[in-house]
Amino acid sequence: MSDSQHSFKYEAMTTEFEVIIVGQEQEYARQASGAVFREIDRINDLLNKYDARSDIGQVNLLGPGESIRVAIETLECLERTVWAYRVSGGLFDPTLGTGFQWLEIDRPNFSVGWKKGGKGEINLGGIGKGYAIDQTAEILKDWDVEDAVINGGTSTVLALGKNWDIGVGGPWGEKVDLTKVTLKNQALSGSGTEVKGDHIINPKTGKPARRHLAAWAIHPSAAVSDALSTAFMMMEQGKIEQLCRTEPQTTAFVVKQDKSLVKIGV
Amino acid sequence: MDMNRNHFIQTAAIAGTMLATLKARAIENAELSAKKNPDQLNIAVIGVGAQGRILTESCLRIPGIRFVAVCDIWNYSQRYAERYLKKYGHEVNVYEDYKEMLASETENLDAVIVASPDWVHAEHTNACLNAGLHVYSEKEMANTLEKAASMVHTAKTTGKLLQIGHQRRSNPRYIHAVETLIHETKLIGRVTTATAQWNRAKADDIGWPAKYEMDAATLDKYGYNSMTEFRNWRWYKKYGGGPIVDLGSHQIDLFEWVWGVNPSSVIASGGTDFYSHREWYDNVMAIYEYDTPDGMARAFYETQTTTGHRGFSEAFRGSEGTIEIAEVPQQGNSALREAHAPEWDNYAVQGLIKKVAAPIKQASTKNVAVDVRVTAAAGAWPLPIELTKPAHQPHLENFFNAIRYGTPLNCPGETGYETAVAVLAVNRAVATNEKIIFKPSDFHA
Repeated sequence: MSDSQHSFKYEAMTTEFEVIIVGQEQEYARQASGAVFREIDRINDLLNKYDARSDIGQVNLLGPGESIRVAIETLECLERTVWAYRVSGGLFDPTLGTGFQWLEIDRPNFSVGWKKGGKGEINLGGIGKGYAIDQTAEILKDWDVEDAVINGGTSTVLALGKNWDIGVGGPWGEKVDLTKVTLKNQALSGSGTEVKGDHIINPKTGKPARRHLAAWAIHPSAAVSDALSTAFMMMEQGKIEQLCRTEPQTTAFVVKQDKSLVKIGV
Repeated sequence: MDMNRNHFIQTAAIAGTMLATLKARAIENAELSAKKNPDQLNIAVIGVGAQGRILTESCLRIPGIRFVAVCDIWNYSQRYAERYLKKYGHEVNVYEDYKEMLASETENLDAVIVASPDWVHAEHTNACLNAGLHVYSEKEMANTLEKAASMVHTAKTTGKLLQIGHQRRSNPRYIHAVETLIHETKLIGRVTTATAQWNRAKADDIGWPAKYEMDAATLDKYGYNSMTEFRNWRWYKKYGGGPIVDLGSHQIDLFEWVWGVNPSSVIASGGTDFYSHREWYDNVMAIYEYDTPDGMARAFYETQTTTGHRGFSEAFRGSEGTIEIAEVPQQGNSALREAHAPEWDNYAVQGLIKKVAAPIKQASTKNVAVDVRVTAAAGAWPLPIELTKPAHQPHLENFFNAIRYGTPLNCPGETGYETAVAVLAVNRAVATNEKIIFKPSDFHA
């Protein structure tokens, strides 16, 4: 056993994933990271909307009233998506207002499709990365890797095992003096307007989300934190507070338009 | 497959009609139809490593397929497969030894998927066929021709179906490109040359979770020298054929499909130049000659494991144009017309190709392999057919339809053997540094 920290990087899902492992030998940590990256590729092959062979690629090609069998992972990710859609009052919408309400998940038959009335076009970019990270946590358990960080392109980070100090980073974090968060078996996700410009679209207005300047979400599930950080950018403070009460493991950090930092569920 | 049938497959409604016809035929063909219940085929998988899992995931999408058993010598893979299938409500019996599985499960089974390492495909396949079960065996059939031939013979003597996992043979995109565009329409004229490559960035050995390390006795019982060799078997001569076989076989198989003849010769160069601890060649370049009815044709193939340059794709180059294709359409999915060739607009009107693409729009993404929209280069005519399923699913469906309805296999053992002859010869050509000349009789098992 070694206490030194090892870091491995891999490009997938149009971003760079990083696995940081402590308490393992370098070669063993590299092999475990390899297993993590293979799992990310596997999930990407299911969720990538640009690939017609993927589950989501196929679902997008279906018409109203049609359905297909999908992988259990696709079902689970879509179920979390439906949850995030509901608790955000429709503001987390992977179809960007094109028709998420028509989505139909038939769990007993492992199928997904569209109700007869219509269809939308799904892009799981706002949750798929987090979902993939959650899946890899299971892989690391198999490898007895207890203390690890899985970093999905710096926008979603899952910290496992020990207490990890995670830099919140980004200009808004610095301006409001939110530079570090301690996580333990939790994920942190961030959405801000300065990193990539206006990249979150409000599904109800079709315009860039501008209610808040930046938002972060913490939750034991990386998929949930990934989705909620996007939703928090658009949700009223009262609605976020309500969500953090009904989902008590959730923490929200929001930089409001007046550049003040609000911490909810801390 | 003729063009009409390909088009049938693309249309779900008409495909339903086709299925009804096939069901009618199945009644006449009772011998081939499932012995237990034609609506539900009971299957087992031998070997649930990386490839076995891909095939398992595809089978789970096909209606009427029921897993009853899985077999793997490694308890980590057993555990993974058992838990994964349970999520879908498939309660399976788990075996370490395929002989015990066949002894207990044969009566419950219709077919077996063999996805073990190459060197035991023949042992597993022959045992299943002899037990009266149909077999889908992964390529390469074997790492020696003797073993590959034994599979063809066993399928023949038992009368059971043997499908070899060259899944491009059932891919509607490839069927359209090869059979409709090249053979029937003669879109690219006489195909004089082909090139194909599968290049991968350098990669370290694959490991294993410490608590799932197999003990020496178990490894020895099943013939593996070490856990490292078991996990990285593709690189060792005892178990596999190296990258030219793992990767090249899929694409070299296409040359015979396009030209309709087996190669007449092959020369090759390669070596273990980068990974000194591995046995098989980490880079190979080969040139085949095909003595076609239209004249001599040549194909260049390379596989690299130290550079991902050009990824994987195939190009069939003819006197009137070229078809570039790849299993992942983003890496190849178009026809390119030679400047002197007659206009192709009429083919686009007929839907055989899509209208020529507008100048390329640069996608702003780092990972070209997974996330670029299908944007063909300017002057390229995109192929019109998409595969909207995981890559292996149509080939498995073809296998199950053969069991249920007696439809022909797209890659029966005989065809898989021809490819094995062509591909395994490359390693011999590298080792001897000599041109290998094939006789037509070499391709008969």
